[in-house]
Amino acid sequence: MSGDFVGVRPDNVEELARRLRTVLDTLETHAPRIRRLSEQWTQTGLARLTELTRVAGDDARDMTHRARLARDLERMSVPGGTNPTGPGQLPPGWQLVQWGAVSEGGAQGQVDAARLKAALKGEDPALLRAELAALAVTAGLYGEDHSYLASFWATIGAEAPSAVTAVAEPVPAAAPAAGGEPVPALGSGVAQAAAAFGASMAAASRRRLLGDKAVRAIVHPREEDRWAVGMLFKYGAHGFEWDAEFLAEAARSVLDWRRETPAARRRDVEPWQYALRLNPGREGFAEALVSPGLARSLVEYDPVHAVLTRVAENPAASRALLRDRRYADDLVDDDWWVTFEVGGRSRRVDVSGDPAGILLAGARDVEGSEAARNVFDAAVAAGRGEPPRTPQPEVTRALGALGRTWAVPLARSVAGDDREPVFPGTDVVPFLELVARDVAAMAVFRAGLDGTLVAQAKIALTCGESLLRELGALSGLVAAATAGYDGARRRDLAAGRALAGYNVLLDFGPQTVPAEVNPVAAVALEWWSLAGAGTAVPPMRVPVRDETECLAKLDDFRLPVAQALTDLVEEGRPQAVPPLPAHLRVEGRVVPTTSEHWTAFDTWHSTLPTLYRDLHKVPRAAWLAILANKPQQG
Amino acid sequence: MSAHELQDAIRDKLVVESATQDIRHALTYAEHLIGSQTWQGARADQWAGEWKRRRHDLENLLAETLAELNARIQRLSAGP
Repeated sequence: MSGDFVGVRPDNVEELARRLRTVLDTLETHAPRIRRLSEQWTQTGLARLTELTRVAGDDARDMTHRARLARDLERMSVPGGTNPTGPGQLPPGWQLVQWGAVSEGGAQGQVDAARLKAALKGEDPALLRAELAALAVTAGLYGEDHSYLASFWATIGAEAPSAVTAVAEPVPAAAPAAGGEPVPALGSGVAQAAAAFGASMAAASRRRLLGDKAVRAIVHPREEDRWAVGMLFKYGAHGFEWDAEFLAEAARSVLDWRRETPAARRRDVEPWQYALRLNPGREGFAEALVSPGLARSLVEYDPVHAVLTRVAENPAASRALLRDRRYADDLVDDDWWVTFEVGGRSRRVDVSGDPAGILLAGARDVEGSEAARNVFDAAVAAGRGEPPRTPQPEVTRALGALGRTWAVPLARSVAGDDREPVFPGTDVVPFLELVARDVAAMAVFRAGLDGTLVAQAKIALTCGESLLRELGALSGLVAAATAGYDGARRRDLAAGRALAGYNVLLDFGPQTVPAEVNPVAAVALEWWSLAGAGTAVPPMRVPVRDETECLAKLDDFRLPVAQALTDLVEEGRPQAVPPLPAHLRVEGRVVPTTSEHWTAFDTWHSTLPTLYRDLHKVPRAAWLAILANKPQQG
Repeated sequence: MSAHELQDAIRDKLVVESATQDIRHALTYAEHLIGSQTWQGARADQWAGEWKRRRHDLENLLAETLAELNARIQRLSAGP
């Protein structure tokens, strides 16, 4: 109907739409806080404020839609037409739009997807970029709108990743970024679209609105779309915003791809190389080679890294992934590197932070027992492999943290307590040996174990029922594993030095430069032989399930007990022991540091009743009897 | 009543005041483009009228909220 048509000036209506979006953003930022404070101080609910914010959203969406219509007409050079308010024509450059043809979510989603598909079929990259930019705005405006998400994803279907692939061109600036910053792989417009696309994908995944076609295209993309899908995850929403099972399935897919595709083919993913200007002949290639940010770029835009980062941000997705032993094996591996051939030279960057993050997120609480068991088994298998594999430090440290979280079940397993058979007791030693290969990993585990020991010592002192013996046995095993580590460390050091020397040999050629002539080569050969001999270092032999022997290996059980005793005193539950010299307890922790401190500590400890000195050896029944006769404290 | 409660109330009122200013600025900035410089047509003019009414509602609501917060602060200052 003609009364519905309005003449608009495209520039102004576009700017007005932008300003209305600012109004919406401002209201969405401030309204919740204003409501909360109003309710807190005046008991006045501000439901009307919520309603006005909702209408501001409609205003912004509708005006954005009108601006887009006006721009379309302008692009098609449609004449402005008759002025609806009076005689004559509209001023030059004005367009006639149907004011009421505003954007209902479902219809808008369908229109956005159809326009994008049409642009994908066209030959005009500029138009495709314009559509992506418009999509970034509308997808952001509709956000979580159910009908928009459902219709957009149903219509776009399997073509979702192609859009980013199609426009993944390098940013115009060829100069490498200063200060070691990664080289940006996508121009800001495409990056914004990828962010909006990714956020929409996350919201649709959570509401199960992606549809089968889109899910298949994203989770199992065509080879040429693999990189673009990675970018949707990279630029898209935080891991918490995604459906956990969808994320886990995407991770399974990239891990399968990584396992089954040789590294040389993986790095042939064309848009990735193209984006980073790593193809000889591309503009900026020479600069990219010397860019200090190249190493970071290799990681930043690695499609596997992009997906795994989101999984690590989502504990439920991490758990779901780790419920399958095959993927636990993939993550607890020793080849978490991004490798790249650059100018005939190989470069590699450590990306073990991704698997480590997933291990930490997936097995950090009681819900993750199945995941923790798979990780534990994978670690044991890696250590026993032929040849044995040592995961990179970050992964080993995640294993140390896992050991800390699951210290009590581990201790029970060592003690042969099958009530909670999370871990097989016979495998605890190889697990600890693997953790012990990294000093920091073992420190993480030991710190946690010490804390658990203190907690159990307090329970023992106050209730009698505790897991002190079991934890003591585990602690003894740790001491033994660390001793074994010294051997392993010597071997690794020898191997590392041999490798370094061997590289020198290769450079010079061992035949042409005899060892006796080249001192570096001579050293390398020496280390090489030592590394070979090192493999004969016997494995640690600890009689597992023999608590007494394990306890005998406990290097120092005195500190946890001293900590527990002094904690109880601090908590107002005095113990029948002489007071600990004040200077030995610093900020609540018993930490003898100097030899004088240790002498003072030893002296104090020797004055404790035998009962306390051998707390972990006292049978439970005896403790219960002692506690029963003890006067009630506090 | 405690001095802490009064301080908290004053601090929160300043938060609401600052948020109100931000909202007002955003609305004023948008309003500059609402009118005949952007469109010609009755439907758009009708929408502009509705938008201005909503703006008025919003400003009143925020002013009332601030007034109530001020009243609460005065009661707290006066003591029990």
